[in-house]
Amino acid sequence: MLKLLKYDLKRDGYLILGVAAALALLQLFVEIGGRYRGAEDEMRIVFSIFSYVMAALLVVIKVCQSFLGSVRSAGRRLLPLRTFHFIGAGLLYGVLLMAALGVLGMLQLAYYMHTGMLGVQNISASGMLALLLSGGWTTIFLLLSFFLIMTVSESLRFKGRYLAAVLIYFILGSTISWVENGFLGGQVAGMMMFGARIQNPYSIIVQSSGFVGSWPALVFELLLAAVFCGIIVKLIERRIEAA
Amino acid sequence: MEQLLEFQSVSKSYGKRTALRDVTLSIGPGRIVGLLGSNGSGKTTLMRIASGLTRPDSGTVRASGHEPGPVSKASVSFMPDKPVFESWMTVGDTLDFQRDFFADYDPGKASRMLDFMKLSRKDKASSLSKGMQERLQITLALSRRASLYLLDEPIGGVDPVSREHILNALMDFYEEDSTIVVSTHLVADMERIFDTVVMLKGGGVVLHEEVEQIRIDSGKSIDQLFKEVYAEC
Repeated sequence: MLKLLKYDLKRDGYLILGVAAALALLQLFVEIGGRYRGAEDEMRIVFSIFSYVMAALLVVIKVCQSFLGSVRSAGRRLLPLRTFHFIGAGLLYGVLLMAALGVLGMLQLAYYMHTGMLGVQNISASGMLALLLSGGWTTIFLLLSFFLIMTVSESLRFKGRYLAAVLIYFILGSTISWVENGFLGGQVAGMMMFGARIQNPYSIIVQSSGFVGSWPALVFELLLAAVFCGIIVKLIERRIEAA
Repeated sequence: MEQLLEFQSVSKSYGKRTALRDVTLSIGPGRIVGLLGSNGSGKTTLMRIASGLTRPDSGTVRASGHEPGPVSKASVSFMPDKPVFESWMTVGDTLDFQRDFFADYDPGKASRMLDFMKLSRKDKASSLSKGMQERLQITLALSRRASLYLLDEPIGGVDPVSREHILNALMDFYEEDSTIVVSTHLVADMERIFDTVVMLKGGGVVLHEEVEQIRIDSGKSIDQLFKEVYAEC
């Protein structure tokens, strides 16, 4: 898995550095240019958050593209690896890039705290750990969902399979939401699961109470992730041929 | 004697088109086998199934003693008819990739092959000419000490000089106790290296015989026999 990751990073190295540089320059532009033009603090923060969301979106697209490339590539499919390794490498790649983005975000947050633009309450080591776990799990679950949809789309052999994939995505998302809301009290993954939440743009509360979601909800998501993995592996091995 | 490649009643279809039809075949160690057939006869499908890239619809396959999968892939070296390397890679990257994933990769052999093929580690693989890409593909496949090599059209689309060079590389760098299966329809160029030939037609095996035996029995070269068998194709 790590070797696959090594070659993914080698392939995308310049692109990643380019996006990181563009993001850093954009933040400088927003801060320096914004202050020069007299933009409100809120506007600068919102613009900054927006740029991070865009960067995160790019990461998701790049990781999905990389996963699909591995599945389609004869060179990679000929490697003496189990199919699960391709999924694992994709997830690891996504988590790594998101973590890098998170580090940049944390630096930005520290800057906002230092300049008094934003207040962070109840911050603690366990709270931060909970935040990291929440972010990691959200990334993994999201990517796994996308991997599943892409794999299903690749395994279909009729015109309009991409449209079918979009439909499947919405049906899947709705079904999961329905189960979460109907049977698990709406408490599932993401920020709520490990006890971190953003109250408003000026006050981020990082609770240190650890796991605050329900155990059935967590088990449900873990089971779902395992089922997703199983389906992806079966479809790749049985239905998707490398070019 | 353990067979390196075994097909037992293997069939494969793509939609309504039958690529392989009830193929039964076994190939032992230490052979250079020509897999011959016209376009669409099933050569590539057979190789892809043996390498684990494609699943058969029915029948059983064993390559290097294992069902196609991660274990067999570790000891079977497959050169597909399309580039196996990634477009961003240099020649050096492609070899490093082999080294990182295959325990049987031999860096000394790879280095000798690079010299023989007149390839430079710094060249970008996707920028090489067709002939040089074929040389690189052969280098990647033969730089491993595999027990079974599957080469799909290694000289297809390259000039006669490169063909000669690739064939010489095959003879010089293959392991004596391993087996090479080479698919081709350029029989005249390659028949000198074959010990055995397997002819496919319409997805089925029409001939599986030792080259010497064919020459003795029919008094013909493999190329002449090939032209007779595929006359109406």
